[in-house]
Amino acid sequence: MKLFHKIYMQVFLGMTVLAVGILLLLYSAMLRQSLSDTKNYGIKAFKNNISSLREYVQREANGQVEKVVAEAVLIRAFSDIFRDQGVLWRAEKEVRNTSPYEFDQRLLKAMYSEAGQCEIWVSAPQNVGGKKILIFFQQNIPIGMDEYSLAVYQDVTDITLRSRKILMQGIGFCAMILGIVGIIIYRQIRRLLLPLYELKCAATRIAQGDYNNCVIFSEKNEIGELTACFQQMTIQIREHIEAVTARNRQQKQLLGSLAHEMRTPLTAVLANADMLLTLRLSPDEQNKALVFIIDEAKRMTHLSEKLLMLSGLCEPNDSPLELRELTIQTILDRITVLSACQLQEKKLHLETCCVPIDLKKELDTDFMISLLLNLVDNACKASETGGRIFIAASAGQIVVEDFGKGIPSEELHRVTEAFYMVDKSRSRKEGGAGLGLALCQQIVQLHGWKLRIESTEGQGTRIVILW
Amino acid sequence: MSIKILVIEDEEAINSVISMSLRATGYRVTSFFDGEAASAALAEQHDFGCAVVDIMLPGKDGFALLPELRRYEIPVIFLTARSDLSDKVRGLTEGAEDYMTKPFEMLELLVRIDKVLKRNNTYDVDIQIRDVIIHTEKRTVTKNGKEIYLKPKEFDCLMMLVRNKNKALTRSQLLGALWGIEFEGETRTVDAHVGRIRRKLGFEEVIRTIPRVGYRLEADE
Repeated sequence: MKLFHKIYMQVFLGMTVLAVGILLLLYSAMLRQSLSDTKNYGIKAFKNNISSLREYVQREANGQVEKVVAEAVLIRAFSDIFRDQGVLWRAEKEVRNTSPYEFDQRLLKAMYSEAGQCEIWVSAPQNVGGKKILIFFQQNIPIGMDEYSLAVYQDVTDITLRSRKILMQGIGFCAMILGIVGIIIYRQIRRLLLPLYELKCAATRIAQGDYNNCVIFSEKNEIGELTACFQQMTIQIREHIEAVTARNRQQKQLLGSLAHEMRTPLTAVLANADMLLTLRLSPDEQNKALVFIIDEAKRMTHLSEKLLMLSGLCEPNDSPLELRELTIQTILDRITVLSACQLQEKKLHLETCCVPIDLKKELDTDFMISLLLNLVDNACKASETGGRIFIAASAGQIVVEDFGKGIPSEELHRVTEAFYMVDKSRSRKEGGAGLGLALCQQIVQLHGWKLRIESTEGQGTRIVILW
Repeated sequence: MSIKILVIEDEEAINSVISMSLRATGYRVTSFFDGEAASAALAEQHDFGCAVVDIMLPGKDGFALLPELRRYEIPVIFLTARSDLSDKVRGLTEGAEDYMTKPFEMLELLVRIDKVLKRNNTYDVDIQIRDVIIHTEKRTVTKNGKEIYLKPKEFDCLMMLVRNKNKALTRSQLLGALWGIEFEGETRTVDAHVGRIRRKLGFEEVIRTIPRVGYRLEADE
């Protein structure tokens, strides 16, 4: 609100000040102009009248020797010409005052000399008895035989009043205009700033966790740009939060699954140990129980190791991939060696081939080996005794193929889920935890590759990694 | 107690423990590792006093076996690693007697089997150990025909040892079951009671002290 008020006040104040300034300027200019005109006109009249007076006196009183008579003529002429506006002095004496005011000649003379070089001195507008008057004064005017001083006043009250009236009208008019314009500007500024309110509301909503709203504002100005950026930010925040929430959920799920999966081997360990402690058992039975304990404990170790790896891989930022360019054939050889033991148990044949022979790829060695071992392990478990397993690598893909049990089509899409096992009891017997393919999936994704599983129940499975 | 118990559990380690523990207590145990095999066998022989069934079995799971077992009037105790409320509710409403989640203590399972059998009156009323007969309904004990007086708590203690025949019970287990107290300080009470039972019944060789564990009533069927 404050910004809006500030802007509005400043604009309004600015306009008001401008209006008032202009009005006053015009008023004073107009007044000055009128006064100036009056002054000039008055000076002209003054001059003319003095000339007329002198001429008249010249004509009428020229022949007159008698001073008194001559003066009477002068006075009469003076009264005629200057009506009720003039005052006449000879030396220090006031000869005739037709005006309703008293004039102090000495003051006027002083002013006259102060003004310096001018024929006729004009005063500034004087306030006398509620009216404003201009005083015209000239001294040392030769009329007839003597020198006279003459003062004339001009009433300029009207001018001032008129100007003031016009000023008042102007102010009234301006006030009205300002009022209307004020309202219009108020609305306009408010409209321009409205998006800021909306942005504020939107930000509040985001702070409270609602990331779904959209602030739509299509004007192409600074506020429009701000809104667009804000939109972007909202979208990014929402995506980010969704990603984080999803990952959180995933981690929770993994944790839950681990706890769950641990229950069964834990039960076995607990129960067997309890039995060893409390029951009378033959040495044979005792050994059997102890073997169970060891097997189940191993299973739990295996499980937690795999899970640790899996959760570590789930953090993309901490992914410990050390990419190096390696010859695929070397890796295949390694796999053959590492899986020899397991293959031997079921008398399985592993065949590898690599086209071209010197095929190189950029990958993380340890993870790649882990990946392939997992797949070979699965293939082994699925195959019957004496079966065959193929690994074929080429520029575009690497395939691990077996001719064993296969995966039922309805379960195909779930096999890469953590802890998912198609045949639980059999997998458990063989020490599986359901994490192998989930791990493979993670490793594949981290390398930026794709994993595809093709399988027919009873015939075999092909795991294709597109790299 | 020659009651037959049916055990269906696919985890070998757990199946083995349950079977052995139950046999030691004197039950006769038939165990299976999957639902299909159990189903097939049930058709021929179904005089079991109780069935202990894991819900998550390959093939026919626990829930699928339930109707069959109910048909033969075999009470069922479910075992499972899942503790979903929905599973529990389903299990119990569909007619299981009881529901136990893993991990569990064997003692608890034995006690529950006990209770189930009692509820279904598949209980032995009189139990004989050597020259002593325990009349469970009248709560009396006779040795060679002569009645031996046991105080109520002594009788209960004896019963617990007998029902868990051949299995060592810890002092705290006995204490908790009979007196409801848990802390170590009071286990002398247990020793005193067991001592008196031994003397009164001449069971010095029957009720054995197992070092670092507790007491075990040893008897063969």
